[in-house]
Amino acid sequence: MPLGGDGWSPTAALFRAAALGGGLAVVAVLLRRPDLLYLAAPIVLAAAFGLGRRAPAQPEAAFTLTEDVPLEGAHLQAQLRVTASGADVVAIAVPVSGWVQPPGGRTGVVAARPDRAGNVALTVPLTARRWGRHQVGPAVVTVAAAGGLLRWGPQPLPARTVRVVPLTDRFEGAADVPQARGAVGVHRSLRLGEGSELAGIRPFGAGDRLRRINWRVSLRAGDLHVNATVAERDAEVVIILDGRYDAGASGGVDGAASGVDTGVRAAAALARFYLQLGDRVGLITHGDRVGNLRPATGRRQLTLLLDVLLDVRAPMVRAGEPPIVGPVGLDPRALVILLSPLVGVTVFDRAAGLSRRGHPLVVVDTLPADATPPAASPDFDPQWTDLALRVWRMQRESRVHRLAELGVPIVVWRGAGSLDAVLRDLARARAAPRVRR
Amino acid sequence: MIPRIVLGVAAAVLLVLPWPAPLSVVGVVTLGGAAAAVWTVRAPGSLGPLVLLATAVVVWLSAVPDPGLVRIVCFAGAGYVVHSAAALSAAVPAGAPVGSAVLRRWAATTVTVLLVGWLAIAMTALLARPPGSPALVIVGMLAAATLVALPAVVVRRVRQ
Repeated sequence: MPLGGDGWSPTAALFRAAALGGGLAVVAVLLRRPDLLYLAAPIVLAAAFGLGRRAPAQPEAAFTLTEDVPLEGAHLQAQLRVTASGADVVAIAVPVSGWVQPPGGRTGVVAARPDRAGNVALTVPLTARRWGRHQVGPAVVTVAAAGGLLRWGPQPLPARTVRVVPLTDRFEGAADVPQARGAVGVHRSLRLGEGSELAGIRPFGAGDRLRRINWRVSLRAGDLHVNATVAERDAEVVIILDGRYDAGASGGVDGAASGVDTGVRAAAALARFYLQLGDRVGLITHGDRVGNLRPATGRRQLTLLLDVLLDVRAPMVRAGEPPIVGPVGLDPRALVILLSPLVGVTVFDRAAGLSRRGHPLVVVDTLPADATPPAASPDFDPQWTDLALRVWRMQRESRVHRLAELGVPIVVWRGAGSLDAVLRDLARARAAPRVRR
Repeated sequence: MIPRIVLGVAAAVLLVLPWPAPLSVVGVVTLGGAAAAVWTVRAPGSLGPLVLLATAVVVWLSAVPDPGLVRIVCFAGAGYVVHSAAALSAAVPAGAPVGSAVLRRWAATTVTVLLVGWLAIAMTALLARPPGSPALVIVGMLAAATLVALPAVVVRRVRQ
């Protein structure tokens, strides 16, 4: 792609050469000081040598990234290929914008000389420091020719968008879900049926398949016996991510995690885990806008889901509490996992409502343990901030206890296996006989 | 970073060469030159290098009435290194790692130009021995033609 701009322009060095050449010659004659000509001679000679060469051609440049969808914490490179025949130096600067940054968080700059054909490839190392959709660039290119006497640029090249996928602790939960839904999947059903997991051995009955006959037991017992297996089921999991408040400050992949960071990483881990099991996973996000992804299965669903997660960000809250829209068309047997920092009142009401409607619900607390208001905020008086924070934490604890009393399990996200005990308890509770009144 | 270090060193040499000098007007002008040197290192693409070179010339004219050949050669060399290092530094962003090919090419060009320039100085010094010789007149005419042609070339480039 031809590099835009107004063409080759003279630099300060060219004007300096001209001014010194002419000026020193005049002063040398007027003051009868020929030694000044000796100072002017190399400067004029270099200028004549630089300008006497073939005029440099219009440069062409292409700005690319080695990876468009990196994982959080991954290293990638901004690559610039320039063709500038007759040029001396090509310099590139990639400014810091967003969370995909050059090392040290400073503008990435590099300069090199084109080869004989006029080609040069420059690379600036970058690190994807936080999940999300980020811009890299615009990269600024400057090409110098004729010994620095002529310059093209600085000319910006269009920025590139990078989708940084959240880094997830590998979630290794139990395969049990409270209520399985479909007839194909990996979750053990409570019923006997066609499956692969052995439930026991029973006498042969009408309708049993011949390949299920256990010949060893049949020979020993004298009667035909068959292997009984439990049926397999899949489940529907709906993840609700509350991103209305971003508690704490995000420090990127190698720093502290904010509430939204924890929520997004947890949602990605859970989605990846259940989709790998073959379950249907849906996602509802509440941030500066509401995202709703209907439950589905497969690798494509994981890609779509991660894409929705990338757009989650807390809205600018000026007054009142942002609402949480009640989920529509939620399967009654779907496992609902609500990821929230449990800030505000609405989230407790929604959780209680879901529980009352009979949904198997798990609330995951994503509030960072060390979350505090910004220290430098002029809105906060340090004298009262600690007290207000304590009161707010007590109110929150009170609401959490009331929700727990309704039978809603609340767990703090701690990565792999966070929900195991809760899901096991929920599955047992669902399997227990109930008395209808 | 290397071009700016070279630029700073050459600027210091350029300002120190006229010394020792009487601590009056020359000292004040040298201090101004030091400020211009700092400006030059910080912004090599500005007017700083021109101000620095002009200041150095003023100090040179004031402090050195009768310079020897070695001193002239050193002064002319330092002046050219300031000029070329400023041109390179202006083309390279501050703090950028500069490819070795760029530095090699710049060093080769600088050394070549300095050698040719010093050769020209030596030749004119020899030619100037018999005052008013035809060879000196020819060299002078060539130098004048170059000095007149350069601004014309600059104007042509600007119009392009």
